[in-house]
Amino acid sequence: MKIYTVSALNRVIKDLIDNEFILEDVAVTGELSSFSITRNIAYFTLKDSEGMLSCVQFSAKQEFNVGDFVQVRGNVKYYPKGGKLSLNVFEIEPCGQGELYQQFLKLKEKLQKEGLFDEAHKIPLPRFINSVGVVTSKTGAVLQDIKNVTSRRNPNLDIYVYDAQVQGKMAVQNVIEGITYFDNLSDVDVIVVARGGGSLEDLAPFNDEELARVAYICNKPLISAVGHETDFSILDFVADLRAPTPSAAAELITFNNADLKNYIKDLVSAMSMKTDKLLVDLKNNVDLSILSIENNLQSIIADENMSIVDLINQIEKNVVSSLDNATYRVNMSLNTLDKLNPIKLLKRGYSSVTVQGNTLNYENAHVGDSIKVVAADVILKAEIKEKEKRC
Amino acid sequence: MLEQNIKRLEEIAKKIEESVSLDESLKLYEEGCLLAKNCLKELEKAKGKIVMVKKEFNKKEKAEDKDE
Repeated sequence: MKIYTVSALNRVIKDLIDNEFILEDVAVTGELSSFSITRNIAYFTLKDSEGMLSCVQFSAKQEFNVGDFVQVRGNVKYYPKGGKLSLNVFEIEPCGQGELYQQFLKLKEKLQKEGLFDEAHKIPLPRFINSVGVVTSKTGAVLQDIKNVTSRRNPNLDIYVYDAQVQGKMAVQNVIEGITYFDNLSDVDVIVVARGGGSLEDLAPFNDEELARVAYICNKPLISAVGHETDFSILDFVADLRAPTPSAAAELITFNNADLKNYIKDLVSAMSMKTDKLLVDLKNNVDLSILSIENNLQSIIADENMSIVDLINQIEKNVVSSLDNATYRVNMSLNTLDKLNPIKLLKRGYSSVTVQGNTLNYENAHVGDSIKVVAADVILKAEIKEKEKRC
Repeated sequence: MLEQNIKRLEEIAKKIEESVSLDESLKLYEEGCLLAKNCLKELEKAKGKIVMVKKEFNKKEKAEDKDE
């Protein structure tokens, strides 16, 4: 057995590693599972399916995102102060997106095609929520955040908590159980699945396909409040509503007096608008009816006037025609009178001959009888000298 | 009255066509002429009256139209 102090052993390790030429200028590819830059120094972790490697880059030139697939070049160094081994990187090259992220994109596309994200399927939140079922870790800060917000905004809100692991192996199963439990609990109005921020691996349970399908068939409004504002999970897309953070979810499910006041105000103004419209419509109807009655009356009067005028014209026509007729009759008689005007006949050479006041004919004319002859301008007394039958 | 007169006039016209005596003819002719003259005068008067009444009616109607 060799006995060392911590610093002595650290020194030994450092010597071994620093001088091992196999560990000099190595190129490693992997997925970034964390990345942060502090005072121009980038600290990050590379990983693949089996392990992790912490890295550091002094005078970092470029920012990278978690999930990025990169190739780095550097020397493996040991840092005795932290007792940590790290790859001292002098070059980072992006080489496509990471495996987990690719899986995420693939599943997202698949479920989107199946319609799991369709807006039409989303259940709207009730305006006033009385109770909420939160699926999260009972011990996490997230639950406290939610409770802080809800108790401030609506202390009357009932909060049920389903204690679920939100990270690790059991997370998917726990969260599925939690959602199903609250979906069947009649007291619960809305379900919130909540978790704080984390790396892509930390949030992996919320990118699970089975969980997505359970969330899809859930009959109650489901809010996904997983990670920070910039993190997106499959659950965010399937859920009826995505809250950027758990606190934001708490805001969404609580109403306060101002909300209630505004709601009532809206109702009242909607009501008065409706009644106003009703009144205007009614008035318009009445106006239209009056107009129509007026028009009808006028048309009836016009018709009556017309028939009176027609009648008078008819009467006039009849009277004029009967007067014409009478005139015609008078003229016809006058014509006859004129034609048979005895004086005219006398003037034309005809004479009137009478015997003892009687018109002369063969029977009453006897030779020797005295007769009276009236001509145009002379009256004669004469005697019949001869008599002969005229045929 | 006018109708009776016209009827009488027509009777006279018929009679004068059948009449043989000059005296009767003359009498009928004279009566007929007088009757015819009266009838025509009456008819003219009636026509004038119609024109007047019509004029009055039209005047009233126009005034009502103006009122509207």
